[in-house]
Amino acid sequence: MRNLGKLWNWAAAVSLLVLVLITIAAVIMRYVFNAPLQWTEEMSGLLMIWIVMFGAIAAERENQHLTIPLLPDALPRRWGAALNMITAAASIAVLGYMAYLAYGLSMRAQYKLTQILRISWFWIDIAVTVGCLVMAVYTLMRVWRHVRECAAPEETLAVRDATAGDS
Amino acid sequence: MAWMVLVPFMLGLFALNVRLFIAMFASVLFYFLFYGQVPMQISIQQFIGPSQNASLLAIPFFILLGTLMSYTGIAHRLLKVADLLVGKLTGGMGLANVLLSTMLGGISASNLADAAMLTRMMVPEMERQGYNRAFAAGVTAAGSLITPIIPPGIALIIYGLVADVSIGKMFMAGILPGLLCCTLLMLAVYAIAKRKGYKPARTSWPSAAETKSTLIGAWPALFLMVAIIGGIRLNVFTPTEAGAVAVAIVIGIGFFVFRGMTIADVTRALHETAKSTAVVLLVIMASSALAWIFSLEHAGDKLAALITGFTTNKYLFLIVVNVVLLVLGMLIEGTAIMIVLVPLLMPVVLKLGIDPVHFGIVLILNLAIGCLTPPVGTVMLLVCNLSKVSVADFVKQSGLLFLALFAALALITFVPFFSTALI
Repeated sequence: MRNLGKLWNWAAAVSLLVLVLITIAAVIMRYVFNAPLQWTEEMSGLLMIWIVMFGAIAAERENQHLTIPLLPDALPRRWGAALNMITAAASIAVLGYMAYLAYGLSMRAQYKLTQILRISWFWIDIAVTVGCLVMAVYTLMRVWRHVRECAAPEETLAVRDATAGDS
Repeated sequence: MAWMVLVPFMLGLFALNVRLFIAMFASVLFYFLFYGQVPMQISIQQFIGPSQNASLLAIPFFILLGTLMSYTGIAHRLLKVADLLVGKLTGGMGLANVLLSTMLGGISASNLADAAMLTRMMVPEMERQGYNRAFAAGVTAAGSLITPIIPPGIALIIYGLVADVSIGKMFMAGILPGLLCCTLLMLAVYAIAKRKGYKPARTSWPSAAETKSTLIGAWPALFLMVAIIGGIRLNVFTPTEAGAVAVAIVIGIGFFVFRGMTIADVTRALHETAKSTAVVLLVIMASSALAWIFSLEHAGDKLAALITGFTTNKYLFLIVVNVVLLVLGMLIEGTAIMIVLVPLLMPVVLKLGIDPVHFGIVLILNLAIGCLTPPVGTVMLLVCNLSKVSVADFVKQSGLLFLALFAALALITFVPFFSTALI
C-alpha cells in the first residue's frame, strides 16, 4: 500500500520531467535550429492534466490540499474530528460524481482527435476520472482515521498531542 | 440571480474545512442541480479547460526553479552580495535580510519556500549579532512578502491567467512595486536598528578585491535574474519558455558550477513541485468552471452595476477592495481569494477605468500582507513555528514593519505609475 502510494508521486514527477524536457527541446529547436516542433503544445496539455491528477492524488495522500481549517481547529477535538469526518464523507460523493462526469465526457470525446498528434481526447478527459476515483479512495481512508479519532478516549489523544509537539 | 446563492454556499463549505477545489466544484454542481439548463458534463469540460492552456505551464516551471534554487546554495552567495551593499550601515544584517529576499524574489516564485529557507538561515544569524529573535523573525517574514510581487512570482502568473492579462506584462509590472516595498521595509528596519542600537554587520566598507570575489561567487544567480526578466522583456522567450530554460540553467549551475547538487535533489524537487502544482491548479481549474457560471449569469456585470450605483470613483472602489481583502486575507488563503474574486470583479475594474495590471499588483500585494497577519497568516505561522517565536511577540516586534508594508500598499494603490511604468 505504501509503495502504491509513492507510485502516484513518482508518476507525477516523471511526467513533469518529460514536460520540462520537451519544452526545453521546443525552445532549442525553434531558436537554434529554426525548426519549431509542432507537437509539443498538444503533448504538454496531455502531460499537464496527468501531472495535476497524479500530483493531486499524492497531495491528498499527504493531506496537503488547500483548506481553511479555522473551524475544526477551534472546536473541541472530538467535534472537530466529527466535522472533518462528515465533510470528508461528503467530499467522496463530489469526487465520485466528478469521476462519473469526466467518464461520460471522455466517452463522448473519444472520436475527437487533437490536430497534430491525432491523440483521442479520451486520454485527456479520463485523467480526471482516474484522479478523482483514487482521491476518493484516499478520502475514504481519511474518513476512517477521523472515525477512530472520534472514538478514541481523551487520554490517548492527549498523549499523542504531546508526542506530536516534540517532533 | 442564482449566483448570489452560490457564493454563500461555497463560502459555507470553505468554512466547514472542505478542500477548496471540492467546495468550488460542489458549488458548480449545486448550481446545475437547481438552476442549470445545460448538460452537466459542460462543468467538467470547463474544469479540464485551463489545463490545456500553454501559459499555465509557467506555474510548475517556476515552482520547480525556486525549489531547485534552494538546493544550490545560491542564497548564501546572494547574502554576501547584500552584506557588501548594506552591511556597514546600522542594522546591517536586518537590511541585508530584506535585500536578500528581494534578490531571491528575482529567481524564486513563491514566498513560503523562501520564508522557510530564510528563517533557518537568517534568524539564528541575526540573533547571534544581538537582534531580538522575534524582530528577526518579523524582518524575515516581511521581506519574504516581496517575493510574490517581483517576477517571476506565481501570484503574477495566476493573476495573468484568471484576469486574462499578459503574464509578461504582469512580470514587468511587479518590478517597481517590489523595489518600493524593499526600500520602505529597509527604512523601517533602519529606524528600529537606530533606536535599539543594533550594530552594523561589518566594520568597514568592502575592498575592491572582496567585491570582485563576492560578485564572481554570485554571478550565476545575478545572470539568472537578468536572463529571466530580460528574456521576457525583449520578447525572446514567453514566460513559460523562460521558466523551462531557467530550470535547465539552474540545474547546470547546481551540477557544474557550484557542484553541490545531486540527482536526489532533482528528484525531490520534481516530487515536491508536482504536488504543489496540482494543489494550485485544481483550485484554478475548479474556479474556471465557477467563472463560466458567473459569465453565464452575467454576475460580473450585475456586480459592476451594483457597485457603480454606489460610486464611480475608482479610488474609493480600490480603498473598499483593499479593506475587504485585508480582512478576507486574514482568514482565507490568498491564492484562493484571488482566483475566486478576480473573474467577478474584472467587469467593475474595467468599467471604472482601472488598469487590470495595476489592479492585479494591488491585489497581490494586499493578499501577500494577508499572509503576515493573524490568525491564518501562512508565512507568519511558518516563520514563528520555525524560529520558535510566539505569534504575540512576532506581532509586537513587527509593528513598524507592518506600517511600512501598509504605506507601500497605499502608494501602489494610489499611484498607478509604479505598476504601469515599465510595461
